[in-house]
Amino acid sequence: MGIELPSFCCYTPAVMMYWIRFRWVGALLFVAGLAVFVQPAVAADDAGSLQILPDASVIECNATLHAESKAIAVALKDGITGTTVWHFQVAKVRQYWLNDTIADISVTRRVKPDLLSRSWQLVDDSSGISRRVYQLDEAVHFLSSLEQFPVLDRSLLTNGIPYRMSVKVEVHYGEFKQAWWSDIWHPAQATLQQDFRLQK
Amino acid sequence: MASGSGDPATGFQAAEVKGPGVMRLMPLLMASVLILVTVLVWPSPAGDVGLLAWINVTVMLVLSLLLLRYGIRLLRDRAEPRPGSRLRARLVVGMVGLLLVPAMVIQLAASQMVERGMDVWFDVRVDTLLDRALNLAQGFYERLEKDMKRSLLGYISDGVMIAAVSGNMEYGATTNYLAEIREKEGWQKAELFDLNERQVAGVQVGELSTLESEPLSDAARLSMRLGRVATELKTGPDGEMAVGYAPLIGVTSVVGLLRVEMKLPAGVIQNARAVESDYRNYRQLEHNRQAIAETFTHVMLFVTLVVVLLAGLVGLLFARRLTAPIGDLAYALKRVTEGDLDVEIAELSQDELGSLARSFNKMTNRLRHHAEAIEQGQQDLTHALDKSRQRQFVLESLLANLHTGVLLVDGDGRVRLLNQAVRDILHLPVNWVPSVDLLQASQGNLQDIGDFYNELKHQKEEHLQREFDISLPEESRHVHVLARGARLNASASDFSGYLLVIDDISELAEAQRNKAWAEVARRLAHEIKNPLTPIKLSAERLQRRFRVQVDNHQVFDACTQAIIAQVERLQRLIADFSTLARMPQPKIREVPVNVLLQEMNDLFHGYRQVEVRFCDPHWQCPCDPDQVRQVLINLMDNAVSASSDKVAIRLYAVLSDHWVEWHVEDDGDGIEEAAVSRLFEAYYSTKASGSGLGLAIAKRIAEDHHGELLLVSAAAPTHFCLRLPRQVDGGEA
Repeated sequence: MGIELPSFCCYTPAVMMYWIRFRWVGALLFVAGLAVFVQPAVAADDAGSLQILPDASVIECNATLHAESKAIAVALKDGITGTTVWHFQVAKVRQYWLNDTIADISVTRRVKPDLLSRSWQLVDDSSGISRRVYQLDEAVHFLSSLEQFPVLDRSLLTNGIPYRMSVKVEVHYGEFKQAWWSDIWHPAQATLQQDFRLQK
Repeated sequence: MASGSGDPATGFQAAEVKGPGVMRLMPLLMASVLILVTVLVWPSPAGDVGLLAWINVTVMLVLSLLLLRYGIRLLRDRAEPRPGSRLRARLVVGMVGLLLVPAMVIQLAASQMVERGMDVWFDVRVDTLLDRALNLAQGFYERLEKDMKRSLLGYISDGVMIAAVSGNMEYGATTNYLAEIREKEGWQKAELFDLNERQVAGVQVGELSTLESEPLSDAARLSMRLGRVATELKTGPDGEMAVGYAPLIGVTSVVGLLRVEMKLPAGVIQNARAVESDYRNYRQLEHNRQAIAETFTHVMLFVTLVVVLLAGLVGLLFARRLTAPIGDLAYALKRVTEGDLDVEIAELSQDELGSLARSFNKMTNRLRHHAEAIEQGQQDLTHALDKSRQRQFVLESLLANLHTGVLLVDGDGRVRLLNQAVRDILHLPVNWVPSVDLLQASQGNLQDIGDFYNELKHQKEEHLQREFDISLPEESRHVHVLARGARLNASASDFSGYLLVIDDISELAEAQRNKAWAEVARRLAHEIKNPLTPIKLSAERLQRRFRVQVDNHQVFDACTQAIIAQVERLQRLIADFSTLARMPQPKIREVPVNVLLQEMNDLFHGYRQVEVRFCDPHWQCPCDPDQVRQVLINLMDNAVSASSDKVAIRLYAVLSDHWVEWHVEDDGDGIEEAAVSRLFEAYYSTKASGSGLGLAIAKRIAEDHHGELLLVSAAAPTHFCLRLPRQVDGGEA
């Protein structure tokens, strides 16, 4: 996560005076902001992989989370519900300005273990489809990977222009309730990104 | 510090120096401790401690920065703090410190208790117990499934049901057969499906109307496809049920499917699910064990911070309430120290502080009255001092401008006051200053002054008057003084002593002497002048008549000539006496200086060594030319007679702003030192034939012109200067 520091060159004298007078308050807010917003960034190579699959009409992708597989398996084996939230973002890369976001979608997958029957119910909250499996690897795979997942329609993109697909994966254990403040202090387990350019 | 010497002021000062130094560093120390704690409790990146940890960290950072700022400001601020602020800071720091220490101890103890509690909660025995309980529950389910599968295996090749799904059997017969089987096996529901997943027949406990055909599940299809017996669990409105699928295998292949449902016993299932739930919760807690501990720590820390903040705020309010009157008192004291006695403190309370304020107001009131009285007295004193200074100034001016010397001597014989005139008259040495002992200072030529004082001191009369001469070695002359003394009576003033008044009466004495000499001269001239002429005439007659009758003409001529010459000399002497006795008043008129110089040049033209330098022809001098001419002749004549032919004599004039000066110089042998002091005295002469009146007359002429005749240098060259003023009676010449 990048942090944009304020540029002083565009400050008016009044703003500068205000800044100088309340510099301690500003310093405090800055430190507090650092404390809250600086989150650990996991290297993409270690955390997972992202592969973009441009189709004739749809841009699909294969995304895999490596970092948490063992932890997910342990939790599911112990009967703890596991949830993965995949935040997809496709943006047009701009050199001198913020990237232009084109698509921003989220996918939530949940596995509810049933210890008595030694089965795991796989639930895709986005589509509402659920099924029960009796193999732990299958449940872990369900949570930690997305295969040929359709991200957006190809018509939204232009050939030859650089784009960047970013995937932020959050893993939650136990009952998970999505809230607006979830992102504030719950860090993402992995952030994957891949630049691509569509060919004619 | 003089410790042990009992000097309370010094001890207090040292304590004040030591105290603020430690207090100045206290905020920085607290900030350092807080920053250390912040680093220790900083949330780990992998942890899931939530927002509370970040709130704690943020609050501690804010507190640290505030303390840092306050500490740095304390160190940088060298000025005197506001009254009471230091006491207030001490109270707040003390209260927070008192609360902080036990809070930190409680925090540590609670953390240890949580750690120990965690170890107890997640004990291995609990872990094993839950595992076993879950195994029991799972075994129950496995048992049910196995029983169901075993039962279903017996119907895989059941001919009736194969015939039924093949359509070779009536519906009623099939239903009855299924009912029998359901009754026999204890199932709640039994259904037959053909290969097309179409329900062929079905029975269940209760009314038949509730029998509804459900689509086959994936497990059912899989069972049919694989030809294996399968079971699965299903949760319905009536509770959990075990669902079994048995493929009906014909001669060569699967021809249908038997689907049965068996309701699980509610009590057992409830217990099993409870075990599962507990196991899950336990595992979840164990999974979040670290997070729980951290959460507890941060909750405790948050509570501690809130308590400390509240304590700080309460302490601040309390300290402000307590120190405000003290601060007002200190501020008022500072103003009193600076001289403002009009300050007053509000007497708001009836406690000790109120009493202190009332006492302070009384003190300032009294101080104000005293200060006013002192100021009034000071004004009176200043007024009196001004008057005294004025009188002193008048007296000093009087004494300074007085030509009479004044000496004031106290009862101990020490000089208290002496004016400039007495210094000038007696040429007192530098050690004559106020407070000098008069008798000790009156040594040498001033012995007469001491004797006079001694006589005045020891006599009975109040006044004493004496005349005596004081020799002045520097000027090689004597000064004749008139000393008058008076004893100052102690009853008239606080001062008792002696007043000595000394006058220089040398000129007066000289004038009196001159006057006496003039009278003598006038009488001598009168008595001697008359017989001289007959004597001279008789001597000349003798020379004319009886020269031929005498034998020795030479002796006769010498005698008669001597008589005539001596008579002439006596006549000249008498003429000089007459001149000195009856010097006429000068008849002043403007005379060109060059005219007098020209006359001198003509007169002494015969002397080759004489050089007369003429001046600007416009120079004028107001004088009596006959008398000035007489002076110049006298000076030139003295120079000529005292010098040989080879010695140069110069006469020239100089004009200044106020004076016209005639200078006569000669390079002769000069004047002896002993004669210098008496040179201008009457009847003093170094020449055998001189009357000693020439320079005395010349000096008198100069004085009659309000000028002076000076001996500039006695030798090499011998230099006389006749100085006459350019202004007479206030008019410019």
